[in-house]
Amino acid sequence: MRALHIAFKDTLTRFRDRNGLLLMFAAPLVLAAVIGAAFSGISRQPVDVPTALVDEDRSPASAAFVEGLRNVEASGLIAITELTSAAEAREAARLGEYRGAVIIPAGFVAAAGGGAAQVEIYTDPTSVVGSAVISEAVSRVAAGFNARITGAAAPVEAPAPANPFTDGSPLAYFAPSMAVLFLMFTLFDAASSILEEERQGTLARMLITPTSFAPLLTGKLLGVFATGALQLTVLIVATRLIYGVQWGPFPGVALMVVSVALAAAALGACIVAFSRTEQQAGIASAAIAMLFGILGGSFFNMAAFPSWLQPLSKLTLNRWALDGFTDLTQRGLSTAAVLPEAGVLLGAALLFGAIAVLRLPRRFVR
Amino acid sequence: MDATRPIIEVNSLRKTYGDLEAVKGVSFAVRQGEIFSLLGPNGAGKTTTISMLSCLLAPTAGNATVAGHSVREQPLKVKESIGVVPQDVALYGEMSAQENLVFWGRMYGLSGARLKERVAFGLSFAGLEDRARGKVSAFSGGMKRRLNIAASLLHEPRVLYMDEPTVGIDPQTRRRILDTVKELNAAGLTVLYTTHYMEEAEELSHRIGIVDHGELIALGTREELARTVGETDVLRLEVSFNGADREGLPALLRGIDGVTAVTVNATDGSGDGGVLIAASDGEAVLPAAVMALSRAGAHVRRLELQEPNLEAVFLHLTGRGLRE
Ligand SMILES: Nc1ncnc2c1ncn2[C@@H]1O[C@H](COP(=O)(O)OP(=O)(O)OP(=O)(O)O)[C@@H](O)[C@H]1O
Ligand SMILES: [Mg+2]
Repeated sequence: MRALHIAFKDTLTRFRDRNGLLLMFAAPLVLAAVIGAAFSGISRQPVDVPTALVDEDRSPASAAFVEGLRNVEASGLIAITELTSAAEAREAARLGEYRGAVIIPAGFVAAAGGGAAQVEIYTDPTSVVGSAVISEAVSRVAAGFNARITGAAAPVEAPAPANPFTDGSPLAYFAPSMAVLFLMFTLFDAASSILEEERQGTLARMLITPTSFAPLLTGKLLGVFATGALQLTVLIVATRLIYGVQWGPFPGVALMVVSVALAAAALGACIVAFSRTEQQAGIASAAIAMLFGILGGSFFNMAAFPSWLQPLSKLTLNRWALDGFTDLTQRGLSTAAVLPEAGVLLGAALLFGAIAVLRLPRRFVR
Repeated sequence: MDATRPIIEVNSLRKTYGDLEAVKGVSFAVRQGEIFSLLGPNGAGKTTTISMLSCLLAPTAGNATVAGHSVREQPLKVKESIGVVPQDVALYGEMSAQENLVFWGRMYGLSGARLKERVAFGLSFAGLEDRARGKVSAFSGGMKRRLNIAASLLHEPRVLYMDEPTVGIDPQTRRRILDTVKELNAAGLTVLYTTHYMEEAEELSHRIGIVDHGELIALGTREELARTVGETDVLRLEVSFNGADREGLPALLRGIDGVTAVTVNATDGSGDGGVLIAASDGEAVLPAAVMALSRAGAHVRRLELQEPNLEAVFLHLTGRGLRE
């Protein structure tokens, strides 16, 4: 019970601290956007949006529609690749080869004569810019096309995407990478609050209450974990809402959040267990968080790393966290795919946690 | 519980830090309902003793019981019986007064209506009812001190430890704290108080233990202690040193026939200070002492033959002043 009160107090104070909030939320959100933009070029000249096109109708009308889209392409908004089957186009789009697929179904010409001519658009809903560009291109063509062929109002309907495409945008990588990087900063700092409490005398004061060190330590560590789990959850929701990042199936994300937060909390406790002063802990924390960030691929996509760096990168928590999260955000895999990463992280949590729990009482109880 | 049994019994309590023996086998007992002071200079071992009696430090040897519980075997029971006011304010600056009290109340196992009631008591005790929601970091030093005391009273302890609660605070706050100690004691609380201010020990305590270099060198009521000085007189001289060799003065004065102990205090940077001289016959050594001082270049501005007080006791027992 006392452990819960301590954890609650620590979590509450952290979420109240304005500078803490900047570090926990503002910094990763802004940096993810900046780095993401730098890698995608969204903020600079718009890149032609890669679009798959399938003409299943093979009629003069549909050929004219295709020509209309080619005209749009010439003005540089989209880059069309014609494919032969709708299934192939959907699959290619799902794999992120294209940002969307435009399908002119068989029966298009028949429908154009009488009722509603239909063109299907499959776009990646998380790629806000991509879907907007494709929708805009198709409706531009559809407007002129109707006037020319039928002379009547033949609305082109764009159905909602049949399946959610995974996100090939850089944010699917940098949203989790920045979240993990700043989770480390936050949790290492949160773990060192036990040193702060030692300095300000509140640790001794807690030890003078009828509370032994075990529940006290449990409370402190629980507070660090809770802070991390909350921070990740808020960042996931925020990047979903602001950047449209798709984080994948709930059980998988929840498992990753818990494993990453536990591992980072335990490593933070470990750093504290080997530090004499707050300052020492601060320096060690910053160094480890940066090193882990760089080696673990928080700043550069580790796919671009030379092969000799790969094993080194696998020594960092960030790498495993990122592998797990991007299985979900980039590769669209299911919960089962993150089990190995979650397992490694939980193992690390156990190892660091055990070292910390063995060492911390000796450090603080005299 | 037997009301006549001492509430704190300390038996040959010892603490060593490596080669340093901070507390050298101290024994004393504190009776139910009294204010007991440990008086001693910096480094005497007061905090170390209090920490062992709070189960914060494990004794190297010896034992102590508090409210009948051994500090070695039943630390949680001991902790339930005591309230400890830390030497420095130990509160959360980023939390409000009320949140601090709620947290510390919970750490003492309080909850529900009783927690609410005790937090309300704590706020009123500290005089902070209208600042209950204010952040502690924005409070004045005096307000923090009061809250610091209130936080150790929430669980209605039987004994209150106060470790130098008046160090480094303004006279007004100090006055208020001393009055608070007396009020709490009048309401039935036993108080174990440590200080290096003789006046505080004299004003507050029923009994006083004088500690020096980890040893309890005297124990008793103020009057009993004064009697240990026996026939010794104590001369207090206020002196302008005028650049006189202050270091050399004690040796010079001790050389006078009949002088048993000397201490020289500088009270401030102005070059003024006090000289205490213990002698079997104060009047007899007075002329020689004044002569010796003026020959050394110091100028005596005021002098009095003192009633034996705790400072004289300390001087008598150690040959040094409390504040050297
Ligand atoms: N953790 C420690 N490690 C080593 N020595 C210590 C430690 N704590 C205290 N000491 C030493 O033990 C002795 C007694 O210290 P203590 O703090 O008990 O004195 P005190 O009477 O409370 O002094 P003050 O009036 O300055 O608070 C001192 O010499 C001090 O330097
Ligand atoms: Mg002390």
